[in-house]
Amino acid sequence: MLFNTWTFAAFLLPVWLLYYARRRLDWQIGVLVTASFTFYGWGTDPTGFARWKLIPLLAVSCAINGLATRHLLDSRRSPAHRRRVLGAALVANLGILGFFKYAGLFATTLLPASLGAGLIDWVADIPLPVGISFYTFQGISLVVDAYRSGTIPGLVPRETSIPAAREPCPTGRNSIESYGNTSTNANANANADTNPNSRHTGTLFHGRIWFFKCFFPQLVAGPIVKASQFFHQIEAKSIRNIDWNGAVRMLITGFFFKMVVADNLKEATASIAAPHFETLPSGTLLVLLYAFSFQIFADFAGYSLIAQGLGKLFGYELPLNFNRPYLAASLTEFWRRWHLSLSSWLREYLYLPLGGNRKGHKRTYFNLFAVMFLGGLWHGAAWSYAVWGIAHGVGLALERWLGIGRKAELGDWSPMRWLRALITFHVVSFLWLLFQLPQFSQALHYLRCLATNPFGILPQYVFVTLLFGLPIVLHHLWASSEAWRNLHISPKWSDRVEVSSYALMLALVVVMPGSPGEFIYFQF
Amino acid sequence: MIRVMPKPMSLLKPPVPILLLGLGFLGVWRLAIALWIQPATFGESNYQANCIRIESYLSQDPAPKLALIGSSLTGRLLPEYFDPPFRHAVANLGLDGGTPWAGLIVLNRREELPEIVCIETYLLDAEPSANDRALVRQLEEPGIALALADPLFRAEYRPSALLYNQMKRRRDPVIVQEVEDTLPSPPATAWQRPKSFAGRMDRSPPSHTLTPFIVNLRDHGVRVILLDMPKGDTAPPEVSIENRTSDSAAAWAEVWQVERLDLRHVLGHNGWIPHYTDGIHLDSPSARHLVRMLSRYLALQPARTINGAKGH
Repeated sequence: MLFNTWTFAAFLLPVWLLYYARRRLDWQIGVLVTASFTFYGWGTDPTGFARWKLIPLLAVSCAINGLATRHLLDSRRSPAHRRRVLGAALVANLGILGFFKYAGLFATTLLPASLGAGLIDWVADIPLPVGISFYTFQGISLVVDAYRSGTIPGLVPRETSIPAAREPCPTGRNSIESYGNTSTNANANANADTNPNSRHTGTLFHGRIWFFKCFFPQLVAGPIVKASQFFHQIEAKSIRNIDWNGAVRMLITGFFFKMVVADNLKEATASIAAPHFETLPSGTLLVLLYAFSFQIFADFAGYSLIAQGLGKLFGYELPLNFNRPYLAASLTEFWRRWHLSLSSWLREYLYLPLGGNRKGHKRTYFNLFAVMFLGGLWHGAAWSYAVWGIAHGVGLALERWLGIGRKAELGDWSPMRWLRALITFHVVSFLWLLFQLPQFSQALHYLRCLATNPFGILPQYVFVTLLFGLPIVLHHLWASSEAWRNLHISPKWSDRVEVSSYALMLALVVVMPGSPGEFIYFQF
Repeated sequence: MIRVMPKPMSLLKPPVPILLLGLGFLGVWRLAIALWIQPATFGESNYQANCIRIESYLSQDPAPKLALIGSSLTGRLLPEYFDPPFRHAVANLGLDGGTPWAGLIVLNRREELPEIVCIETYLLDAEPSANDRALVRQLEEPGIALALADPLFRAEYRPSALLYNQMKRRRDPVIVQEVEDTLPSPPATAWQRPKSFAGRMDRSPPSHTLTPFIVNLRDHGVRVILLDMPKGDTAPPEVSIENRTSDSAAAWAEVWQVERLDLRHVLGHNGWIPHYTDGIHLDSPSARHLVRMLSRYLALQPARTINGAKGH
């Protein structure tokens, strides 16, 4: 189910109303888990595959991670047992992900032809379940965090909780003292399961885990939420506590980015397809690269913002996923601004376990390279993604060697910084080509045409790129208090401009949407 | 971690002003559409151009008398190029990136069918494209109902389309070729008439995607004409199959017992030199000239009677 469809609107309202109908945690978790599975299994993918067939897969993933987490949080288990459980959970998670992502590649390149073309074709045609990369990584973060720390704030198995001491719970809103304190929660009164203010986190253990894994706003395309970012938030929510201001702003911006910017740019960037691009003049090919850069940012950031806004409507904060990435003055800085949840995940669960930068320069360069290479493959089983990851890995290693980009240079607007940002933007944009043309030979051909085709610019493409790319440029340049201060605009006027901007974006979503389509990152 | 509880919502505090101002912007735009704004003819992308054509056809009142069905080749024959009586009674369903299949599906969304339907032959045998299917899927979405209910939601009133139209019209070349008042009569070879209109059409012709549509149109007394459109010489190989298309169109015209009009070579009469914007599609002056010739031919060649009943 896509966020930008009437079907989703018809789905969201009753779910939201049902959710707040009762201020009970078990009720609210039940509503959201049911809604999330409905969301996941609704409709068909572009190849006609019925998505309800993927529901068992998601359920299995939730069950495996829930079972593993229960064992890992049980302090009565031996370290050896916990290690075995962690290993099994990782194998299960990565096995599922690897099978669905790389089965096709495996079948066509490694399976012997003697097995028969029918079997090979069947394996190669296994569809990639939507969102599998995201919820698998979330499951991995859950079990690893549970193993490392032995506890997750907001989540304690009933077996290890201290028996209830019949003490009254704090009434009304949760007190600051009890927030995230599992031992205090464990001393909640006997009616913990029915008390809407209960923080006894031993109850609904598996419910909380299933909720964490499949919460629909972030289920299919992130942000990848870590256990430490989410479980402490789980409690019975009230409609009075909704951050309406934040939710509406995020939703408006998200839908504007997706429906107005990305979906309109998509009409132009569809020309980045063989053999059509072969006939286009070189100037137009360059313009289309910029258009795709804007499109992929708007599409992905739009999704993340919508997810964050929806999370707020249900009382949950999802992490920020993009921080004006095209202002980055280096690839190192770019990865501190783009897809923050993935880069944070890779750092914490891959880069640091490999040694990070603690084992000498050469090992650091290798770690950077390996992480980005695997990060590239995470996007899909195609040479283009591998090359994309390798290029970024090499770039990061090179910058490390040269000492570039160690710190985020947020407030520095010097000409040199602008020049470096422009160079970084071009490097990133050229590498994005590999996402639009996953067949590596086609990507090379595009670059060849860019270099050799006669120069020329088709006005229609320039018009579309400039018009729909402008909001992205403005978002990067203006969405900061530093920019306002530099312009010496008073806070009162800046408030009015801000409100007007959101209102204008809302109106444009109504009158200027592009052709509807799936989010780019759904394919990963 | 310290949590700061958000303040209760107030009418003066965002997001209420945002929502109200947003509605205000929409209201102002709707008023401008009603009072002042002329709809766009061109879309800034193929999809928007197709939406403009489809919504225009479905909302046209009264129903058009003449419909043009085909691909982007036909899409260049704008209704505004037609002389009266057709000018305000023409629907162009020449869909960019589309085949006649999608145009015919759109055509049948209205109860009242046109009197004359011209179907481009260039992609006559092509299977429905991905573009076609996407357009047809869109017809089932609530968005199309909204667009038909109120101009605010129509593609022809998109701010981007209006801006694009302004720029495109300024860029369009001025007509430099003079057209004689008297157009030549169509050469004898331009028209193909079925050998016999007598009797009912064979209900089991060889299978073709468009056959059910043709049958339905003929059953409703619509005059169907297969149209061979001129195109530039630099068309991609899969389109530049002129002779094969011509033979196929001739064969299907016989099977469906419909007329066929070959416009590919008529533009050269009276010294007119056709020009193509991208080597494939007619430029505006050439399209205008072709439209005038088409109008004249339709006027000069009324439909044959069918079974003694008067045709259109």
